[in-house]
Amino acid sequence: MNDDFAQLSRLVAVTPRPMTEITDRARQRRRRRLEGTATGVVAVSIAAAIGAASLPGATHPGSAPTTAARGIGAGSPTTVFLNATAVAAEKQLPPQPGGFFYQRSGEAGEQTETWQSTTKPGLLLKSYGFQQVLKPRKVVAFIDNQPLTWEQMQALPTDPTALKARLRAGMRPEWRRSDQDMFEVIRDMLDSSQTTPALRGALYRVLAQLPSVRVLGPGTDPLGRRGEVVVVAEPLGGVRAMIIDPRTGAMLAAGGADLKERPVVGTPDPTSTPSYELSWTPPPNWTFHGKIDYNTWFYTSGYVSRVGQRP
Amino acid sequence: MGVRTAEGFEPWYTEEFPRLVTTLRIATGDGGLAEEAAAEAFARAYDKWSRVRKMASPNGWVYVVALNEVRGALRRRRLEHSQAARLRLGHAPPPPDPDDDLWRAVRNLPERMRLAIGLRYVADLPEAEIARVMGIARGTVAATLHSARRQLSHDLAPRLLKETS
Repeated sequence: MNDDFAQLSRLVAVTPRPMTEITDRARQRRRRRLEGTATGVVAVSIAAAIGAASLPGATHPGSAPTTAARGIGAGSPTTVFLNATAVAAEKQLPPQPGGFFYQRSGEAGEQTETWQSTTKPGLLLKSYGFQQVLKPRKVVAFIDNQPLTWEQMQALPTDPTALKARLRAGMRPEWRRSDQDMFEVIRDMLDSSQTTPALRGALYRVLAQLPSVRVLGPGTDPLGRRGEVVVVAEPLGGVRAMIIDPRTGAMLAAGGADLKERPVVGTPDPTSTPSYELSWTPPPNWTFHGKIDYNTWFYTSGYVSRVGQRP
Repeated sequence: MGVRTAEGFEPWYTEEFPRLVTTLRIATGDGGLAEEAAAEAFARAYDKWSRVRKMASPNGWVYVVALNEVRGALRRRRLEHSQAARLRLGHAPPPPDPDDDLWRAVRNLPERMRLAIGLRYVADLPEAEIARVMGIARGTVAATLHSARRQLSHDLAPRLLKETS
């Protein structure tokens, strides 16, 4: 097989880019870092971006704190929390199409602001000074890679069972059987406040139906905001996570288990061949060990009447 | 100001850049994204070369950084809701897929298997290093590679790929 791949590598071989491009990029990185430090434009450092969730029982990185996962099922803490969050999300103000949807988010030490409209040119701003005009886009949300217009998004069912079926139908075939990929699709949809309150509520109720999903309890995002940590167990070890403000149903940050963590007890069996393609559910009493790293977080979002205006 | 080349960086870069791009391309199926992520990862390595060069495995480090770049780029695509905002902005269109049975068979593998295969057979990393790069247990790497080889052997029959460790 080594020979086969050596031949394949030659077939797709690329020439290294000129060293000047690499050194220019390095210089730009340095400059951005320095500008961020000097002006405070970058509110959160890269180190802080890899902030650990303060989970119950969490200690220093490298240790193996134990966080008992609270199980799912009718009346379980996970179900109770997600259903309560759904109620909170449903009470939020509905989006106001017609203006610009503003969102400020952060990732790896950089802040991004976007003003997006379905009819007018918008703007993308990076904290290090990059700007780009955004074309008007009819798309306001996605199911996996399937774009949704405002009308299509509003037409989604808000009954959780029907919504789950609709989401599965919209997902790429190899994702449809997995709780983990459903979690990912829902997390992506919760990224965008353009989803209606009723839909956000329904998305939380769908999460409550997924056996691999757990609420771990209170945590802190990289900006120091308190919320509840919701995770899905991964078949090959690890979790995907988001931290939720239970008062509003807003997602504060998204991330996952640190590379070094071995979070899920009881899985996987290294002699087996775990697969994402098969439906997989962790043991009912699975337990999480370790910390969660958040690599994306959301400051604020809302509708404004013009580019440059902030909610 | 002239170009400052950190000692030992350029030969390492010249040797490893193509392998990293091929590995990422196998994992993501996106040649443009693979090149951009690799360039960014090597720029970071250049920036921190005095530390990176002393690491036990600079290759492992640059693969971790490049994979994070890929994940970040994919997330940004969603955040920015704009294909134009892709990292490869301003560069030539991505290269077409090669007309090759093995390439097609690898592209049909699940994402995690593709990455493991790329790291093992293109990047030539040992299983322990692959485990570190992917953030999974070594036993899981072995199991993933085993499954991938089995599926490739099945898909490529009657090419009869020889399984080697």
